[in-house]
Amino acid sequence: MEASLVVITRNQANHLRELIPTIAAQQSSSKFETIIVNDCSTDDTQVLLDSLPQKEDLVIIHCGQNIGRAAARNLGADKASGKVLIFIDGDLILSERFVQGHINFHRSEFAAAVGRTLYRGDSGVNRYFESRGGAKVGEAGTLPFRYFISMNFSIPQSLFDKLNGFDTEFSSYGGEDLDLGCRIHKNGTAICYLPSALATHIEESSLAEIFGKRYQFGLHGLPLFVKKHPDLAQDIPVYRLYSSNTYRYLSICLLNPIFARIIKNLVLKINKLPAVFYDYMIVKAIFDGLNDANEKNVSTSGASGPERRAMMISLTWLLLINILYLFGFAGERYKTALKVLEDIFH
Amino acid sequence: MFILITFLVTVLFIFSGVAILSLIIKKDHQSIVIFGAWTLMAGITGYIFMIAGLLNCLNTTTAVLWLITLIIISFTGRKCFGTILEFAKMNFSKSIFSSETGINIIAMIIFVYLLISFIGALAPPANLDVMNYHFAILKQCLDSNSLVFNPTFFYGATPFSAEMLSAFMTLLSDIRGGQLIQFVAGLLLVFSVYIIGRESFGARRAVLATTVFISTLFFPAILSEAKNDQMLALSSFLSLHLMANASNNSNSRSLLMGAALGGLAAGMKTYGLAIPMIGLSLILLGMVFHRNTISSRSFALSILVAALFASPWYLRSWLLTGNPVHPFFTQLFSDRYWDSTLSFKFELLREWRYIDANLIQFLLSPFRLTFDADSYLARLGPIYLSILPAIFVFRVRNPILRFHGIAALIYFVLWFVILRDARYLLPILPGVALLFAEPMGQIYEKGKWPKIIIILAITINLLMALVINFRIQYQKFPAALGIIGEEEFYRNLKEVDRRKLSDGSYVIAIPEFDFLQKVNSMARESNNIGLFSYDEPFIYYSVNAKIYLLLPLWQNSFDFQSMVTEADIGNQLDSMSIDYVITDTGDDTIVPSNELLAQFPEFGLSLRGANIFLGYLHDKCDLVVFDGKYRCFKRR
Repeated sequence: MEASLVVITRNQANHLRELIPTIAAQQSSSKFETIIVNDCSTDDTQVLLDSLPQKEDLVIIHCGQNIGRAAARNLGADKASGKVLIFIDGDLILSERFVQGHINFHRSEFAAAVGRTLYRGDSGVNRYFESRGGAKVGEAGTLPFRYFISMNFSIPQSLFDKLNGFDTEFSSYGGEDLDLGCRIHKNGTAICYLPSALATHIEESSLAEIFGKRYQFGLHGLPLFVKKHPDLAQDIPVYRLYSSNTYRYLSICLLNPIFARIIKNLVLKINKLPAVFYDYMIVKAIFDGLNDANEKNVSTSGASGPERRAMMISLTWLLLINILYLFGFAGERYKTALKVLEDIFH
Repeated sequence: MFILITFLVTVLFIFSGVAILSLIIKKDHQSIVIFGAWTLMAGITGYIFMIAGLLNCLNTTTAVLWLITLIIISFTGRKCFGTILEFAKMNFSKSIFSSETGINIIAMIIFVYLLISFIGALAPPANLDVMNYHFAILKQCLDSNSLVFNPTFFYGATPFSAEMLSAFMTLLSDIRGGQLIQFVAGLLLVFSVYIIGRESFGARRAVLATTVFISTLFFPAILSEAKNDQMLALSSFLSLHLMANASNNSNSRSLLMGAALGGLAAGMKTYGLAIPMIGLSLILLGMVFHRNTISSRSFALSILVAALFASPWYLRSWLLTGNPVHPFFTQLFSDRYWDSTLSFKFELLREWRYIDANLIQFLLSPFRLTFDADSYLARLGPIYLSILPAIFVFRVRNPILRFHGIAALIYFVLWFVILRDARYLLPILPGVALLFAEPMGQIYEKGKWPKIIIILAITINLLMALVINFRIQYQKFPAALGIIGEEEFYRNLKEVDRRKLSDGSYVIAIPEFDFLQKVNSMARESNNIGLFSYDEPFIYYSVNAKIYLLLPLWQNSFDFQSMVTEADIGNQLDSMSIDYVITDTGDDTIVPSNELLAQFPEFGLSLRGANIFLGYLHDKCDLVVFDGKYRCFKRR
């Protein structure tokens, strides 16, 4: 078998009804199999999958309990017999040459490939997502590992096995693909952008869900990633910003709840906003998650990086004011300084 | 004796208050109920004696009857005794000290601080505001057994609950009892920050909050004095805390009690009105944005309760002057005692005392409040500014602390626009202290060095406050401990020079004391004295005879404008039965200057009258006492 298409799904029966015909309609000269992993769905996914005609090249796996995206993909990969593993989420529909596009790529390259994903619906946030990640690179090219996302990618099975697949410690939303991308990068293997492997994302999540997932990523996925790969943590821009001194000033000026609420209301009420607004909301959600993760850590293991910086700012200011006071800045000297300040203001 | 009576009244307030509140709030073990009980009964006592004053029954009999009533109410609630004693045992015996040395050192310094203030509170009243206004009016009321209204007195119709509480204590003991009960309010304020803080946020944060609060550098000057700020701050803090709780858990009983205490705060001082207004506005916002599930009925009821507890003094002011908030907002109300003279005084006060209210000054105000005692007539000290950024970089998630924070911010903006006197920030400082203790606690828990720095910083701040407290109080010790008499105490009393607050230099507080003693030796209590002077404070309190203010540009009961001849002056003085006149004519704020006349031509007529008045004193009166500045004339 040249390729295995691994689909993971959880409570996406409606989307699967759209996806499955597009798999059946693939124009591929190569032989490939389809493995669908049902991660303990509670809707009628199981009924739908069981009603599909049994075929040799279709493997359906029902999980008895929710094992998470990383473990579900690993499970699918275990059952796969293809030389190339193509992973997709259950809420995509595929272009006719999607599978062939991935297969063709791996015939000439030993690398991981991230396909192009469009978003159905003309909402501002969909346009925003379409412009992120690989789209920034444009036509087929090499991607930094941070752009590696798992909703539409392919990888040689040998490489996947060598890297031991996804890390199942990433049990909540986000981080497992970043981790795999990082390990691919460390292995010296390239990650390429593959516009010809085109899929369309069906599900239109609400903004609250989207930001909620980013919060989860900040709370669990990103801290775990940083813990696993401290050497590459600074390559993640959002974490680099979070762990810089700038963050504390930003949190006073731009990330405070009042300002965030204003931006959130704008994002919710105005359909098409410049990307910077969505960037802001996503970064804010990740920061909120990181902050909460830090608060949990701090209670048991002392101050983390950002906490330490917050503490240093606070203590420096505290000492400065007290020293100024104690060493006689009060009174006439203070008044003189204040007069200068007032003059500057005026 | 007055110490024992104050202790008895304090205990009775708590017992009777808890007995009443246990009928309303089920959880009678909560510390806020204990403190709320005292505050509620103190406030109710204020109103009882207001009514007694209106009925001309402001006498010892009424005080004793009320004391007996308190005993009866306490006795009916005797089933709560065990709970209260358990509360006292739990909070004031073993658990004050912790296993941490640093925290124990701080607790010891706080104890010494409070002890010093307590001894200071035992001395005769020494604060100029107390003698000028709080106890001056109180003395008039007690002399006449009624609630007097002196239209010539600037604050003659403002809320007076705290002073009425002092009246109750004065009638039971003496004026020092009236002062000591105000100290008790301040002491309970400190305890409430600690105990409520400990109950809600843990012992460590409670000690930090208490330290922040009592490190406020102007607090020592208030704690031991009989101003009404302690009572106002206590009821404000409890009110806001109860409303914060109500907002958090949608408890309508907490809201009602918070509204009642907020109403009491408004009954202490006019600016106390801000407390129930801010608290209830935040509750309303919470209702609108579905942050709480308080019903509209409960909210309406709480407004009614707050209005009920606040309104008596404002109603009185409205009936007397036509302005419920006399002498403020006179443009809004037709204040029948407001004239160009008082208006001018306000203008002069603003120019003399207050810096401008603009955005730049607002942004600079935290620095001014920290470093510069002159700008806002007092300073907070460095503790608040030094912790301020920490509340932004360490996110405070506790909704109760957030409520305190938002309420404090709104109050601060109002304070800056309207008041701009540092002392008037006191009502929000306990809540701010609790808020600030949170990031401090977080830093404290981050490791050895942060802990050392925090302990060091707050110890230094606390020691500064302790030194200031000692500096204020030590001169009172001989009088408090009975080593010297009242006369010697007042003669030698010193205070910080009010014109150079930042310097902290001390000057004799009552330079006119000997002069007043001589006046007292001549004028009887039945005599009336006309006061043609700017230095009104001690004359008001220390002179036995009744005082009428005759200030052409200030508070006035004398129609200078219509005086044409000395005979007119004599007739008007006759109609007021004035026997003596005290002047300090060297002060140019009494007689309008040419510059002032150019600016306010209407004072020209007053100037003419004032000059005729001075001529009258020269021609028709005998100079009987003169000390170089002050003169006392006796009418022939």
